Amino acid sequence: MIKVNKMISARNKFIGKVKSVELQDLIGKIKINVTAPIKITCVITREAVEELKIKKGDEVKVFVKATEVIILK
Amino acid sequence: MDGELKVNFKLWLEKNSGPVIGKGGIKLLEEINKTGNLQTAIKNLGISYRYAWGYLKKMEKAVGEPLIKSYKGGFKGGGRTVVTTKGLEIMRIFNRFETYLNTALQNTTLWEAYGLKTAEMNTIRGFVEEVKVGAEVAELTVNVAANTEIVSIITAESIRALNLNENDEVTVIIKATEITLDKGE
Repeated sequence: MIKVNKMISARNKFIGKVKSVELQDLIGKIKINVTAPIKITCVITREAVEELKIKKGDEVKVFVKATEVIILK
Repeated sequence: MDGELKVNFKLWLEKNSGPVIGKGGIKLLEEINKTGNLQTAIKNLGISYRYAWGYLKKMEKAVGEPLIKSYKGGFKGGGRTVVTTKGLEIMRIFNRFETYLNTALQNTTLWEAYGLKTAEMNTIRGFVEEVKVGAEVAELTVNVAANTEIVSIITAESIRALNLNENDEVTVIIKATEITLDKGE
């Protein structure tokens, strides 16, 4: 697991690099390269993208609460 | 190209692996049932008598019993055709499944659960590293890449239903809107 500065309950924490940022009217679609070959697409509000000043090449932390992870066999 | 791609389906009933009836046949039976007259039904549907008759005979042969029953002459010499009990049963089965499938098709949550992309989603393949089953829930650790694990909390019931064991290959799904981001300082 990856170390984060803040204490956060989310069980899934990854560090990744922003591959692309696609801004729409209300949302921002961010593609992130995590550990190869894992790529994650994340949809957050446009407001959040602007507040965090997320742009291509940035290093970001990705959090996912364990109860939001669906498993298929 | 304009327009989005949509999913649709064709439904038919079978007997002994042979087709019995599809949407067209159901429409014909319904029209006969509604009008009580084969000629009127055929006229309303805009199909030829020859085609309708051939279709009906083929369906009856596949089912093994009559689907319609005709009464000759009578008042005004009109003749009357009714759908048999078996025919009505087939109409009911077909319509029930068609309604059910249409509902299922529109249920985007269901498709997401099956891993079909109806919303922006992340699907990641991995191997189950650890299964910890508690009273109500279970904690599943899935290895998705070198030194990268994803933890999932699902019900203990799901673990049993999916028969999940260590080393099983699984797909991890994360809806894009369920991800929280933080920028490294």
